[in-house]
Amino acid sequence: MTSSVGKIHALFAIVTALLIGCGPTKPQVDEIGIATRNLSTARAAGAATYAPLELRAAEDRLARANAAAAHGDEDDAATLASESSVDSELAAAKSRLGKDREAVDSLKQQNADLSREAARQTEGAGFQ
Amino acid sequence: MKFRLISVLLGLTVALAAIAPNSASARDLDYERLAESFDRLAADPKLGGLAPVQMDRARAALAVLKESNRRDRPHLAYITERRIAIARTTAQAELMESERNTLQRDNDRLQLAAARRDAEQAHRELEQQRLQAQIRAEETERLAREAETARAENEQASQAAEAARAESAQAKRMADAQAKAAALAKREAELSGPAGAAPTAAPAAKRRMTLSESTFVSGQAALAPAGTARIAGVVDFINSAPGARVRVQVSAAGNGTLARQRAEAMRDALVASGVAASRIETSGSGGKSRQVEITLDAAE
Repeated sequence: MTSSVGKIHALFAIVTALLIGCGPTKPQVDEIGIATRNLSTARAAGAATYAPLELRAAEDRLARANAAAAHGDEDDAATLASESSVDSELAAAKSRLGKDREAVDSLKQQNADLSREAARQTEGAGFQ
Repeated sequence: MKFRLISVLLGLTVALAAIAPNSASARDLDYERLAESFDRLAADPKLGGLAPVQMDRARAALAVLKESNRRDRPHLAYITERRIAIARTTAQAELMESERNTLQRDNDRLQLAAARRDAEQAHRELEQQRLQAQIRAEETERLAREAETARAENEQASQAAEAARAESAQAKRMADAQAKAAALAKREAELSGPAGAAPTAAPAAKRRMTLSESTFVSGQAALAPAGTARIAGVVDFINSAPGARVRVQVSAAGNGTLARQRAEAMRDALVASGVAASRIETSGSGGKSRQVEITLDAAE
């Protein structure tokens, strides 16, 4: 009995040690998760069209981060993942800017057409 | 020996002192470049106040970079550079969105004006169509009136034609009736002439003609239509003995005056038909018989 109680205590000690040991890896896993989500957001924003360079950088760094994590190199994985995250954020921001610019250009064109049409009809109305 | 050791340590210290500022200045170079970039963005007259959250994150990244050790510097510089780029791009996007909103308002206004013009145009066209429809309706009504007038005129004409036909038929019927009456009278004269005259005329050498009382209007001296119709026959009879005296004797039951008047009426009718008045002498009696006797006296 005393022996088995001692074994259980030993097992607890090992588990606790493992948990403490694995503790620091938690933020690194989160960095990869955040980077993955940011990449999805950038893609959904149309980064493939509006920010292809930043998107490729983000994909590349996330792939390297995953590879590093697979090799147990948690520090490199976290560094690469956080870099991938800002790449994705920049890609998403550029996509938003690109879409806004397109909308502005389209509206400028539409408004010019409408103004021209209004001027033409006002002129034409004088003859009716 | 001791001095040598001290000089070596001194040399190391100098060397370290020489390296340390170098390292610090390299770190400062990265930091200063990025800090300058950030300050430029923050001071930008258009972008300066925009994207506050991203500006804060860039500022925080810059602060971390400033305090970083040598090992983390390249990574943190990259992060900081990206953070500043994100802040700049976000500010540009916000500026662009503000322009977009202004343009969208202009667009709404222009679209509304265009819609209003279209509506006015449609209204004008509708009005024009209404006027055209009215003109067409008036034209149709005018044509209908004309057709009605023509039809009425036509009807009137046909009514007139009908009336004319009816009139002519009436005239024909009247003519027929008159002809028939004349024929009947003639026949009666022929029948009564020989029938009444023959027995008495024979011994008197056919010089006497008798007419019935129907020669006169009943109770009057005037000749009845039947009597008038017989005058021609009487004239023929008289003319068969030119120069002979003509005696008109009328008898009317119990009324000598009427008889005399009737004899004179007969004489007037004969005179009117061309018999010389000097040849005719009249007499009337209230005798039983009711007839007219015309006797030719060939003695002269």
